[in-house]
Amino acid sequence: MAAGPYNYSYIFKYIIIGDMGVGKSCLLHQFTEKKFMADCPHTIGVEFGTRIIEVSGQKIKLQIWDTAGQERFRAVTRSYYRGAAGALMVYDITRRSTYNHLSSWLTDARNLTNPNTVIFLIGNKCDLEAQRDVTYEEAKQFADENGLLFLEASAKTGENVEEAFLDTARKIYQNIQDGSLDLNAAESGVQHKPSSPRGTQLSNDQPTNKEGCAC
Amino acid sequence: MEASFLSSVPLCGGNLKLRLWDARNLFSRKSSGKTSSEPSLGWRLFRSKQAAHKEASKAAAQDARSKSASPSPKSTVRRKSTDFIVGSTTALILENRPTNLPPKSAEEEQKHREQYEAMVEEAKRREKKDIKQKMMQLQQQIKHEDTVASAMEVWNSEILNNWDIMKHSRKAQELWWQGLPPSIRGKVWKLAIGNDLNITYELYEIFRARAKDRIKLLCESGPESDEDPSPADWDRESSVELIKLDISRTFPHLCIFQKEEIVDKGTVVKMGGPYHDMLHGVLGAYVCYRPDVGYVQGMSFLAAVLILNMEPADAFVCFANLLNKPCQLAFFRVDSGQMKIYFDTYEVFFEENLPKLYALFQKWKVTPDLYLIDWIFTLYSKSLPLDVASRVWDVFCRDGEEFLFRTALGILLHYEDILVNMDFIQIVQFLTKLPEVIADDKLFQSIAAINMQAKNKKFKEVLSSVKEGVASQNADREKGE
Repeated sequence: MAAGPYNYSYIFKYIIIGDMGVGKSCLLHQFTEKKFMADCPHTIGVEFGTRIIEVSGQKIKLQIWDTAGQERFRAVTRSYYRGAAGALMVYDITRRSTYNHLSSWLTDARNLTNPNTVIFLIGNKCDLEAQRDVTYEEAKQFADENGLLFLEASAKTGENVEEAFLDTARKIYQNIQDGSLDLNAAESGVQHKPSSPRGTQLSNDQPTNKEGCAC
Repeated sequence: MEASFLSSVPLCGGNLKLRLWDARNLFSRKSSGKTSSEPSLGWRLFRSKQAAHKEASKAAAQDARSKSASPSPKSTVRRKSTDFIVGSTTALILENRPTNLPPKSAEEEQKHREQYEAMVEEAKRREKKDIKQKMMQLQQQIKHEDTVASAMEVWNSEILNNWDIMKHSRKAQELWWQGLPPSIRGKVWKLAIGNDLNITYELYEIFRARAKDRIKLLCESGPESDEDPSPADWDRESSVELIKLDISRTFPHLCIFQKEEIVDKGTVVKMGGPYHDMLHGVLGAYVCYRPDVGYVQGMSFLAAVLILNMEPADAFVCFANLLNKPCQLAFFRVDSGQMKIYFDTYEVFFEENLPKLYALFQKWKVTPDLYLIDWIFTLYSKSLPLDVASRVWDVFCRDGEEFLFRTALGILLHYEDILVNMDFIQIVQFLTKLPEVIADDKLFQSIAAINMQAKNKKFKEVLSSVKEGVASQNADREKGE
């Protein structure tokens, strides 16, 4: 279980990517605060959220990087992919253009992370069935073809939000267990018995229970 | 208990009015007559997110209720009247002792009476103290208002009508640092930002009309359906389309830039929206005016702050000229190389002013791009409370781009004691979501304490030497190749 003063034994870095307005920040907020934020200002650059979860009896601290979605910002946000253990790639099921751009997001996710990074595709806003513009089947097919985990979710109702974040963590944990993810490798996106998030040794980390959301 | 009863009633009504008066005047718009039709606008601006939200949803709910034709005014009236009923022990003590209890001895009775009187005395004393404190607050408020009024007088009679000569005067510069009186804020910003681009109101109208046509065209042809997914296409040219995604996400808690229909139990409730079209107009016109820059996230905050302080046509002129400044151009073009030059320059002053914190940030690899991007893009209007941000804008108009970086260091200094005990994720979370309440005077004291000279070099000199360094590095690399 948790070592020393820490109340978690792993840190996983996640990154949330996808077009602007697909609901990246709202998904994060729903996951960390269990609330839908209707009036979420758009993200400029990057924002952060954390939550401690449990997988197979292990406490894991998720460190989530929520990026700006506009194409123009990709020059900046590309540097945030490094060392992500999980990437949540989000599109809006009511706007086909956000789905059409997935291959470009996927290219970035593949090129800028390590081969073991778990990529999870989320079709957000599934509560807006009447305005649906992308079918479940085609997205599922896209996910299967590219080896992605996939769920349709709603940041508004909370449907499948927990699942998407937790399934990603389970998959990462599984990769650690079966040895396909080498914790000692640089940029694995995972730290065991928390050391510094981006490399150096940690000295005064005091995880608190009040993990805020940077949404 | 009695003390709280006695002091709970008297002054709060007066205080409320005062705050209302103050808030309205912070963002008074000039003459357009719009204020009268939006009586609650100024009042809304300066409350906490939750309060504004509650108010909005309450208003929406009330609106919905009146539409569904079953108003229940009684219940609200009743609730209001109970606000003032506070339980008290007075009656109990004055009551005759119940007959089923043994009588008190005279001595005990006397003791109890004395205790009771002492309590009443204490309560009265506390009440007096409370009133005195409130009077002092009131006096401070009045004093503050007087200062603003006299500052306004000086601005109007001495500085504004003699701008070119007076703007560099010591008097103007000092008054400027104190924060501009809201009623002349727009005027001073406009003068300070200037109009090097020579944009006329006619030009604004032309581009606004063009943006309107474009949006109409896009709506008719349904651009989303069979769009080319090539990245170049879904940016710039089509960014007029992107604007609408962001407008309602600009200062959402103010409820004035939104134009969404919120459905509440089957009833459509219109939310806010008086400034929605203005904001859309200014941003749309800009995209048509500068298609090479286009709409970039963050712009909507800048345009919104300008619109809150001046007429849309003036806001457009200021917006276009503001974005034409070197720092803004570098950031809004998301020119990574140029941005890095600014970040490196910033770090020189960071290390000089806050060596301990700088070392900590180095250790945790908290790089400036993680928190400065949001601050610089929106000129702090997203991250600081709007009244504090407005004061940052004031001095930014006076001192230029270096003040943006000075403000960043001021924020770090202001929160240094908290930051030194944090780790990577705590620091970046804190800096990308600053506390909702920040006292502007304290923050400005911290900003004033930041020295913008590093090794006897001013910001501009450091900036150009960093630039030269980068240029020579590039030249070396080219030679090497």
